[in-house]
Amino acid sequence: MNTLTLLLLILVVLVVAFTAFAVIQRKRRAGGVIAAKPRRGRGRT
Amino acid sequence: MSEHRTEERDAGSRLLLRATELAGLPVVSIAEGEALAEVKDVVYNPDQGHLLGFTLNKRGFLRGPMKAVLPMSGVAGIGRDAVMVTGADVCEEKGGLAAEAQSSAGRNVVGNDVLTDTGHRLGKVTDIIVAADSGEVLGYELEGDPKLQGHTGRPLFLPIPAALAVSGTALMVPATAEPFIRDDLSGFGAAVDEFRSQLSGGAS
Repeated sequence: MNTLTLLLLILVVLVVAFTAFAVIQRKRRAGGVIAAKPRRGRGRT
Repeated sequence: MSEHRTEERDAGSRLLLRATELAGLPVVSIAEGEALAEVKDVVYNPDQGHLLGFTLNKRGFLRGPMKAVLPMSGVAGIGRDAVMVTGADVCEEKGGLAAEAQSSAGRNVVGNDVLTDTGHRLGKVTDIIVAADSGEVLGYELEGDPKLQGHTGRPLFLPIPAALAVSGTALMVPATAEPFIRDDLSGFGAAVDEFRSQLSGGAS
């Protein structure tokens, strides 16, 4: 395996790792609209 | 910051915002003039029809969610570009909202079906509409029944009563809300007022 192939391989691994991190991070930070659970004893106003 | 934000004011000059547009907004302290966090989730109380507060992300894409939450009592103002708070001390790690947000995790209403009490499916929730000044939840934006659309492909805006039943998968609204569905946010505030006054008139 020559140096160029090795560098390309490292580059591919880095790109894949960064993409996976970005996807996970996007999911972690994603927001939503949450309806709070109704609680017993909390009446309507 | 989102480049596509809609700002609609109704006849009473209330600023109406989509809840999903609040996600990602910076939380800015008036005292320090500094962005403390970013909005993650919008938490609302369907029993009382108002916002309870926000869960938060740390600033910056590489950082994750915060333990601290921002209750509505600590919010000084909500605008189209930021949520303003008086100081960093209003965010709390323990307390009512923190517990509420934790126990309600997974109850995201976006994507839920909306059914009337007569069993008619009106569509799927794509957003909720809130009045920025009061934190009142006014209605839902739906991807709905084409027969209810004035113009093909436009979203529907459905006014909701001040109190509402929400389960994990479906939202119930009275069938009397159907005639008040609009496909334009600018006339929506008036439709909500009209619908609610009709409900309170019918109740008395």
